[in-house]
Amino acid sequence: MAVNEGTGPGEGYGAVGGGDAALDRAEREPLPCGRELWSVWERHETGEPDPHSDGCPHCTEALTSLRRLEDVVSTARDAEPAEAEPDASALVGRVMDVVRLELRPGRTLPLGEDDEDAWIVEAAAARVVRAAAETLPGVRAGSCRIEGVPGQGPGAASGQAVPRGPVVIRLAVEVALTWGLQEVADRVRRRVLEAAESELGMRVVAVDVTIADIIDEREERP
Amino acid sequence: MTEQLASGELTEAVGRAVLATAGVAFLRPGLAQLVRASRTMARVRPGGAASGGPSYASGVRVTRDAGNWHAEVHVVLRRGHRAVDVTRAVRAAVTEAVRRAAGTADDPRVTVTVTGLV
Repeated sequence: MAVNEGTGPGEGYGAVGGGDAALDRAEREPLPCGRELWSVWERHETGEPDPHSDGCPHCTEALTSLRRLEDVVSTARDAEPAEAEPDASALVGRVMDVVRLELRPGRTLPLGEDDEDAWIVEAAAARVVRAAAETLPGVRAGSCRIEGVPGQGPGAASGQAVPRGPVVIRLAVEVALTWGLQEVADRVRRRVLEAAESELGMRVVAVDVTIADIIDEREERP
Repeated sequence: MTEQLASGELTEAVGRAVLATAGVAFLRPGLAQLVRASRTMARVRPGGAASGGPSYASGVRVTRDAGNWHAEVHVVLRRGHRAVDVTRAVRAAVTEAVRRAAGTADDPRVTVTVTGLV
């Protein structure tokens, strides 16, 4: 697992979207019973059977807190009808996304130029990347990892694992049968580069696109 | 370790400056922290905002080391604003806030971390 200790002000590092890397300290929010808060919430939301949580007072309290938060957000949404939101559940979802980002922020990545002291957590940047890819019809974004390039940027000489400087984006996508694979990879790459520049201001040296699967749009996107 | 935490007033001045910046949705809210607030995870940092008032402790940390101010800010931004531009505006606002509140002409070091987009 790549780390970038010392490169940013944040304390959270780890994989985003792939779910395949060991969790590091910052991702851990252990409850007194030893379970991770995000894990308890995730299992609850996916409906995965969780016998431990069912009988554990700490997990039960964590889930009660989650529901309370969802209620608060929903109530706030209802109390402010003037701020038009076509789908109230979308706002709830966005707020809950923020909560999840706090629990699993991933790496801290540089924003802007080398001499700036601005950063963004990987999870937030990855969401922008995935959303950019999914603006293409028949494209579904999967795991996204964003990493600095060892040996580039200031700090490289001082031994920082991932110094300030341009990043590499590795994105997996599933695409509809209608696409030519080379064409869709090129278009995804362009969309991602545009979004990284226009929405984030993150310098990107490469976008590696992996076609992870071919999907049948007739089934997946009726 | 000579690093010292700034006063609650200075921290709050920085917090207000950040929140007044276009494109900032809120300081790292500690939403997860909020739902844990009734438990032992709730922490009160010495020198932080006074109890009863708005707390910026989860999103703002201002320290002084060897006479140099350092403000660390964690923010959630609004979509539709270019993230790096907002961080630059935040830096300018925080710099001005620290100068005014601390009565110094020196530029503080300002570290801005975007922790989410809504």
